[in-house]
Amino acid sequence: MARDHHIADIGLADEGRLRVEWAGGQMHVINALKERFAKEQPFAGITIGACLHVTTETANLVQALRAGGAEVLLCASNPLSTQDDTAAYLASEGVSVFAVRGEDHDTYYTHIRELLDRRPQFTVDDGADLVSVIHKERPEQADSVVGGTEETTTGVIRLKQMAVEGALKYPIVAINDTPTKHLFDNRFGTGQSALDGIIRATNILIAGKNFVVSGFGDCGRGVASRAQGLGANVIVTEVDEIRALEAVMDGYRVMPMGEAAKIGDIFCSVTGDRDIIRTEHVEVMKDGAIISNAGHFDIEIDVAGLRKMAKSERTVRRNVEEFELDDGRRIRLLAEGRLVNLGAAEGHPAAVMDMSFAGQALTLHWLTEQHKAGKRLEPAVYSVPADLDAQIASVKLKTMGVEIDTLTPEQKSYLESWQEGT
Amino acid sequence: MIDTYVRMCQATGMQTDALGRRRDPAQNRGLRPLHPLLAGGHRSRSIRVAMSERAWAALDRAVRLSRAATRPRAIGELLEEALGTASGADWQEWQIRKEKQLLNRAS
Repeated sequence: MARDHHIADIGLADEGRLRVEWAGGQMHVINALKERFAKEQPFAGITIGACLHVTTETANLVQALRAGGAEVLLCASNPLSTQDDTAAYLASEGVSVFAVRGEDHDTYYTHIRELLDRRPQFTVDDGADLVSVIHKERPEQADSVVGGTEETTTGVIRLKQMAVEGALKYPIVAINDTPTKHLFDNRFGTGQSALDGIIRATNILIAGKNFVVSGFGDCGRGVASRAQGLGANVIVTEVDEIRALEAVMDGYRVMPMGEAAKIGDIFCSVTGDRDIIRTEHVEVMKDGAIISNAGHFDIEIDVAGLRKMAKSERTVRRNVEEFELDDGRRIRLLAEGRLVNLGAAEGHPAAVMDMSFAGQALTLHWLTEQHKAGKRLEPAVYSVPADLDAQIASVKLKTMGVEIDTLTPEQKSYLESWQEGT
Repeated sequence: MIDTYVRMCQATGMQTDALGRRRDPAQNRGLRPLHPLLAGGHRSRSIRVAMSERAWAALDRAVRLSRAATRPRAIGELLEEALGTASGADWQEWQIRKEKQLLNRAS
């Protein structure tokens, strides 16, 4: 017999409720959407299956969708990030949650299958698990799925490949690639949490230090501006001419890593590529240099090379490993070279997740509208419609009490005309 | 005298353990396990392993580089990884592994 939920301990529900409410206090956009959905009931009669990190922020998304009339099923996209108290709270509220922190491989997939047994019409993925199981194990079920969303870049890469091969059986919207998500996740989210991680790990004074930021994309801009705000002398390394020029014009020093390595006190690599801080850079670093990664996986720093060239290594503080080189210099690696904002701090604050989950909620709303209007989207990977992104920003501004101007009809007409202007 | 001693033992609430030894209920001296329970539901077992010198050298090297708290735990982690049953030390490690698998499948 199908069970309503599978969680660690329903007794944790009260604890979970408090934490979900605390996160909700920072998720103003989701709260505004929740109110709107409660009035409009856009998801009435619809079942949504979500495979996401079972955290307090996700719980707020689930509540918003349920307020809109949806039946929401939830399982974990990562067994080790599940917060058992959050799962318990959602289960106590009647959500079908299948997630237990630390569940083994088999239980993880059993939970995904239990969710899919309830035949959701929409899937919400964070790493393409629901899509993969549907396509691999129960392709006939794909016909009853109207559409889905994918949160991660890697998931989108995989889904695009499936689409190219003609294997994708229903449309998926890539949530990751929207301007508001980039702005909040990368510039403000990573920008703040990377500095937070570096400071928590080292308790170092940033002011007056030479702070080297590798990569001047959205994350790099965020890290650089926050380091500068704390009084650091920021140095940017780049491979892209336009971004490098932008960094110079923003007032940062720009130079190759080989040069920056000689003068940097703190290094933060945020490129999204591999081998940014290599052994030849470590060779010329100052004694006591601190190196960290807030970009991609654990590959931006050549940690294996560093271990190899070190005479000895020891953990000097939590999340700080010190490598002593042959000449006595000490290099300090943060969070084992993995993402410092997750390893040494707490990742994105709820206000940042608010924006990406608002993208999820509005995209699901858009998908249901397409479905209700009888528009069948072809099986492919889609971007979030631009007007949804504007809606997210608009709601966010409203919740902040910020008003903006609107174009007059004459201004609008002028901008749209090719006959006027210089 | 024996009767008096037995009565005294009964009066003070002494009990016998599974081996018939007299024990006070609060007395645990000599009854404690030799080792504390391992964290994380782990179980320690001794096994005999035969493999090549090269493999032993590789194992020793990997154990030296491991960040596990103890040598048995380091060997356990390596075995779990080889068996594909490792749950990962934390969620970030698990996430990295999952996303790398996704990228491999896409390429």
